[in-house]
Amino acid sequence: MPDIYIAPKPKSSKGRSASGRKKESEKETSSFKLLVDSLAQKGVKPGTYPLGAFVALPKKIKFETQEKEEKIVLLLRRHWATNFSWLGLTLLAALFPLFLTHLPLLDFMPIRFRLVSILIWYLMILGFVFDRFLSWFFNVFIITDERVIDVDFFSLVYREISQSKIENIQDVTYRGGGLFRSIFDYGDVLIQTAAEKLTVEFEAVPHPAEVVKVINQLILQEEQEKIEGRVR
Amino acid sequence: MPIDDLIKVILILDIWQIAKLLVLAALAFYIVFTFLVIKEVSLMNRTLKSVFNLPIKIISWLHFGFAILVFILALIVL
Repeated sequence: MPDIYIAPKPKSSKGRSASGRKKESEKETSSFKLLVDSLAQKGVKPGTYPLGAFVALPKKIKFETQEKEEKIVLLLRRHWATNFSWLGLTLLAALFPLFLTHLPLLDFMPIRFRLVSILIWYLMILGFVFDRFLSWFFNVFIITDERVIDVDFFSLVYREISQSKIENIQDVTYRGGGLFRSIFDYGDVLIQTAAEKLTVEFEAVPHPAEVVKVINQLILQEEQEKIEGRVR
Repeated sequence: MPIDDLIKVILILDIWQIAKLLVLAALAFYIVFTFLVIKEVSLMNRTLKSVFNLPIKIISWLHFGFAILVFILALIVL
């Protein structure tokens, strides 16, 4: 009779863990569906417009540090109205060479220099517009079902990505005010966190009240998941 | 160098030739800038992936191409 105890082999442990994972995934999917439903009740509808400043539940957008199961709930940019100043400036600059027929500003130059000057002028306008557009398009604020992320590009090759987990958020406030902000309904959302960097700030985002509601909903969901033991 | 010789040299130099050199130098710097923009765009595209990545990449290359075109034109025309 052998003295050594031999533990019984687990019944297809591989299969069980796979089914466990499946169940977990189903739970997560259903919790995400619940989130989508509750957002719909709050008037936040899924959007796919890639040039939008307030895109809820975007489908064809991903970010660099996104995890496999992580889903983007809101993608925010500065409101379109914040672009009016540089768009107006661009329009004026683009029309400026037309006034040169009336204003003798370049008359002292030979004709070949005038031609090249105008081409350089439009080249610089293109550079300016492209730079402004890139700055608007890629400086985004992302709210996923797990965290909030603020992506900032400061210069040509320097970027800063600050983020905070939903569970670390302590307080969410927004500030609006001002004629322009009231007309176009945009403002700043301040997210107070328990992390090293205390505040994550979403500047001039559309519908700040909606954004706060969505974050509060996510905090509630995260707490619920903690109680149920479904923490990723 | 005596002052008379200096004045002679300045009189020989065509002001528009100097202007041409300055314009070409400025455009060369601008070409470097447009190349940096291409690098910036590739970094940005890595950070946020969307359907607009390809059009933005194409625009950045067109910007670079336009800068080179203006440089060549300035080199020939001026």
